Formats: sequence, C-alpha cells, structure tokens
Amino acid sequence: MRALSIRNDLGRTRMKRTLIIALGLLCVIGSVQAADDVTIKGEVVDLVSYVVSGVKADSPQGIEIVKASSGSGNPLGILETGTGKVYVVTMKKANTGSNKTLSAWIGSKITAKGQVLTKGGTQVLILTTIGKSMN
Amino acid sequence: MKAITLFLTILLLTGCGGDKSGDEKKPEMPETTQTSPPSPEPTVPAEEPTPEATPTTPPASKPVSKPAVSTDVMIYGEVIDIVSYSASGVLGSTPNGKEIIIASAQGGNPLGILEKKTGDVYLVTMKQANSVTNTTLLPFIGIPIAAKGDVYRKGGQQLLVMNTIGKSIK
Repeated sequence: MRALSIRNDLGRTRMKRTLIIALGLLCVIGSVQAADDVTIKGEVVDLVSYVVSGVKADSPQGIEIVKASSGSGNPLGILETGTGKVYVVTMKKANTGSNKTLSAWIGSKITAKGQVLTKGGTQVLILTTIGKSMN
Repeated sequence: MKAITLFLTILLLTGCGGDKSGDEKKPEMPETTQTSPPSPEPTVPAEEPTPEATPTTPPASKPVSKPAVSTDVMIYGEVIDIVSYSASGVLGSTPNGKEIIIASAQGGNPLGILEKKTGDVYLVTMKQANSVTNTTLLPFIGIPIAAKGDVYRKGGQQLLVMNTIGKSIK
C-alpha cells in the first residue's frame, strides 16, 4: 500500500511539473504570437551603409550604393520616418531573408506591416506585407 | 606701526609689480607660445586637404564615413541568428540551436554577434570588401568567439565592422 501511495505521489508531482512546463511554454509562445501587427512607414535602407554613413536611397548615387551593398550580402532594412528607428527585416515565411523582397522597394516610400521584436538592443520586423506609401 | 605695515605692504605690492615688469622682460615666452601656434597651423592645412579630397570621391562611390563610435573594440560572445534570437532566444548551445541558426542563415537572415558581457546584439559586416559576413560567421556557431572591429550605432542598431574573429580562450 505504501509503495502504491509513493508511486501515486511521484506521478502527481511529475504531472504537476509537466503541466507547469507546458503552461510556461504556452505563455512564451503566446507572448510572441500575441505581439500585435505594427504598421511602419519609411524607406528601405542598406543596414551597413546607413548605420556607418547615413546613406539613403534618395538619390541615384544612394540607390547605387544600397543596391551594391545589399547585392554583396549585406542585409537591407527599414528606416522608419519620424522616429529614425532602423529595423532588421525578415519574412514571416520561416527561414527566409528579406533582401529579395525589399530590393524591389529601394528608393520608394513604403508602408510595411508585421510584428516587431526587440532584444539585445536590436529591432526586428517580421514582415507580413509591404507596399508603396501613399503619404 | 600701522603706517610702517602699510608702507611695507605697498612695497611688497610694488615688488610684485616689479615681478610683472620682470615678466615683461620675458616676452620671449609668449613669443615662443606664439611661434608654437604657427606649427599647428601647418598641421591644419595638412588636415584640410583630406576633407577636401574626400568629398570629391565619396559621393560617387562611398560617402564620407562618420567617425566610428568606438574603434578597435574587442567583443567576446557568440554567433547568433538575429531573427531567431530575437524571436525565441535561440543560441548555438540551445537544443537544435545550431541547426536552427544554420537554416535561418542559409535562408538569408543575417547572423550577428551576441556580446556575453552586456547581452547586446551586433549586426556584423566585414571590413574586407567582397567577403560575405554569413559565410565568415557560420563556422563559429556554437563556439565562444572574440571579434575585433569598429562599432557604429544608429537608429537603435549596433553594427560591428569586423576585422578579425577567432575562438575565445576566455
């Protein structure tokens, strides 16, 4: 009888642990998924040339620099108008870089929609949609 | 007595004045200081030509780079995939972390460096032209690293223009 009750106790504590872990995981996943979609208005920049030298694709030369830099493997990002915040961008589709998508918008005013993640001082936009800004 | 002390103080004061006149005897000192400024002057024109020379070339190819926030910085940390780290804190040491990071980097997401001491995330680019950052960083996933380069900050992002990277002994 004692052995049975001990087994039952062990089982209960294990159940409790797994429940707690599962709930914790749910909370973590929930917090990521619950992040609301944000609309960002701005322009596409090459992260490297913008952070180092403030290069924008607002002139033919700027466009050339941005295209050349991103073409050599540097990541494109979005510079938000008004706040001056720079976002590293990734596509919502898993494991897909954003350079291909963003390169089509170099030199245009854009409106992007997606989730913003902030960690370690860096801002990442998980891009859902992007289009030409009317403003 | 008061008159004597007053007289003495006046004498002392005039004595100081005499010292001043002694200083006047040494106008060579100020002169030397005046001569020294001309020496900085030649350095100023020496500096001037460089800004003059740079504006002519940079707009065409590279813009004039603003001074780095900090140069030759050594960063100890590890290579991360910026996206999966920001989304779920994936590290090379976490279960399946290495595989996730490699897959994400191969998909085109940028790799970066997570500084151990501060928890800061750095975007990385290579100082050497024609070298791709992800290709350079990939072999270091899951390994404590030491990277050296110049750090720039703008728009909430930190960028390391990397010179060297190696396995950290620390």
